[in-house]
Amino acid sequence: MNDNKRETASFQERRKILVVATRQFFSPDSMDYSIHLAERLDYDLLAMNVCPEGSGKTGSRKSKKFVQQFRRKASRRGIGFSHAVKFGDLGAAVEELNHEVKRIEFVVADSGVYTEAVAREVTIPMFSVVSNSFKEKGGKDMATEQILTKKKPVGQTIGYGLLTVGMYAAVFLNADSVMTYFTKGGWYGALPVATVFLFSFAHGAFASNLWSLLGIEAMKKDALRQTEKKVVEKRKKAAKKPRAYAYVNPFHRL
Amino acid sequence: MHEVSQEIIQFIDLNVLSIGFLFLVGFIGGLVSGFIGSGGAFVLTPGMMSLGVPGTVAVASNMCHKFPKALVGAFKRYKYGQVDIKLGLVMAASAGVGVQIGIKIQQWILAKWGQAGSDLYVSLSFVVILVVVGGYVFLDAMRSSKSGGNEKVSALARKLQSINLPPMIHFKRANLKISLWFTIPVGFATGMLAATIAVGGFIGVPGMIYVVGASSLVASATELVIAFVMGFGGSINWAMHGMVDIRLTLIILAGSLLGVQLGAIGTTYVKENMIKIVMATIMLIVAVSRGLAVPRYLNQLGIINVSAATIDILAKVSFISMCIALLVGATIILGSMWKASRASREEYRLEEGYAKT
Repeated sequence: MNDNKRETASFQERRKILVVATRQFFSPDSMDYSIHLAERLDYDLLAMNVCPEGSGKTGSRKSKKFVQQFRRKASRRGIGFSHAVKFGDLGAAVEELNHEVKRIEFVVADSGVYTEAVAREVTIPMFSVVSNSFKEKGGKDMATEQILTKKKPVGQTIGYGLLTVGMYAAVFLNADSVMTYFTKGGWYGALPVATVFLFSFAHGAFASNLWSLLGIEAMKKDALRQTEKKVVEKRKKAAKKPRAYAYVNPFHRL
Repeated sequence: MHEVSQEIIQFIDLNVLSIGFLFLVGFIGGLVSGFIGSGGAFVLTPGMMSLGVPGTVAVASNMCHKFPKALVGAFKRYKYGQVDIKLGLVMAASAGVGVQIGIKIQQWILAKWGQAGSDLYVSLSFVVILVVVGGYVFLDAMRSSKSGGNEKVSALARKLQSINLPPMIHFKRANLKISLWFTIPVGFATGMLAATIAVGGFIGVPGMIYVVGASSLVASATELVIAFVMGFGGSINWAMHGMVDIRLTLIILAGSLLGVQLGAIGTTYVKENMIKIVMATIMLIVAVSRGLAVPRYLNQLGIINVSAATIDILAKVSFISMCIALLVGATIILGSMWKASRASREEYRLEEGYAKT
């Protein structure tokens, strides 16, 4: 708790989104949603688990892992994050936190949170995240980052691999004649340069396919949100500009 | 001389051991240069020479493998949106001029103090530049890793960007606007260093980060464009003199094209700060390695007196520590990639586990 207090103090002035869950963990959908929202708006995140009175099971390893994961996801995008646990009634807990921590702009409720219970007591706007795994009848799905399962490029790897092997064999089986022509100099100098271009094409394509066949591919998580980042950065820059104020003399024409 | 070296090229044996060595160094060098934009050349050239390849052929064959490697790496990183082609071309053009001046200085020193004097000049500039620049990059990387690993644009770069000295150039990918007059010296210094110590990237990448103000991700990716342009020009020159041993080039290329792509993929796994850490570590170890070579040249010039046995040992230690520099760099890259991918796998597993509850 002490730790929480210190953390909240460090970003007291910034605007925040409160994410609440009535379970011991947060659904991935609500984590992703609130992180993206915080990134777009340049807010911080405050996560809170509200447990029923006397349940006393909040310190479980699993819930800690979920909080850690939330924190890691947020920090990767440079979003301030803090976490709190409260017991008892949800509405009262949100209201209490709203008094403790300043500038909570709105609440994102995890799927499965009974929002009406909070809405009665709290004046902050509230949004619910409807998660895929808790889909109710008529509930809409949140768009989430899909994990695309691409087809493994087996055929291409083999094709380019054979081509590369063939080219290497062609050079090294005729090494003697290759060396005499390639080192003649002058216009013959085009031979080695053209050769390395050809090899870099065939072998480069093979290598690229080989790594993706082995499951080593770029993490594109940041590329997805490039435009958004630029907008946020521009806004941050704009916010720092000194503003010009017009001075109006109230006694003018008196 | 020309004819003699050709005779030697044709008769060096390519046994399994030397092929394996070149392939492996090619792979590791490729991995490092895919990640930090340059590297590998400083081990490959002396490595080939220790296999009995004459110096000029080693330099020529190395350069001829460098530009296709840089091309493949730059293409891969361009797909990740990290390459600023305009910045690369501006830098490469000014680096081309730098190379010419660098060669002139080398020739002047060679004429005045002979081979040993020239070697001493190369080693000393290696040590001084790598210690100063590498040390600064290392300190900066440590500082920013303490504050969470997020990069800030240096004060110098911000100051230079704010000076409106036409022609101002807007570099879209690097997301900055700076006067042409401030980018030219950086490119020029890169070229001069490339002509002197054969690894221009050690000044080009920090220059683009701290003087121009690009992020280390963009700077290291753009360095690959510079390496391609300069390597291409250099290779044509060497090839026209008939100095390229295509067999050596192709063996190294076999390893380095695999490595450079892995290194490029690696940049998407780690925080940008990691690029600085790897670069600084390699630079500092290489500086030590070159420092060990200094006594030999001082001895040749008759300034100090060291026994032949000591010099022999120092030369061996120097080469081994160069290899260590490359290995340490590769280990850091692979280690941090493995850590990042394990973390993301765990996240995925947690979400899977969640879906089942």
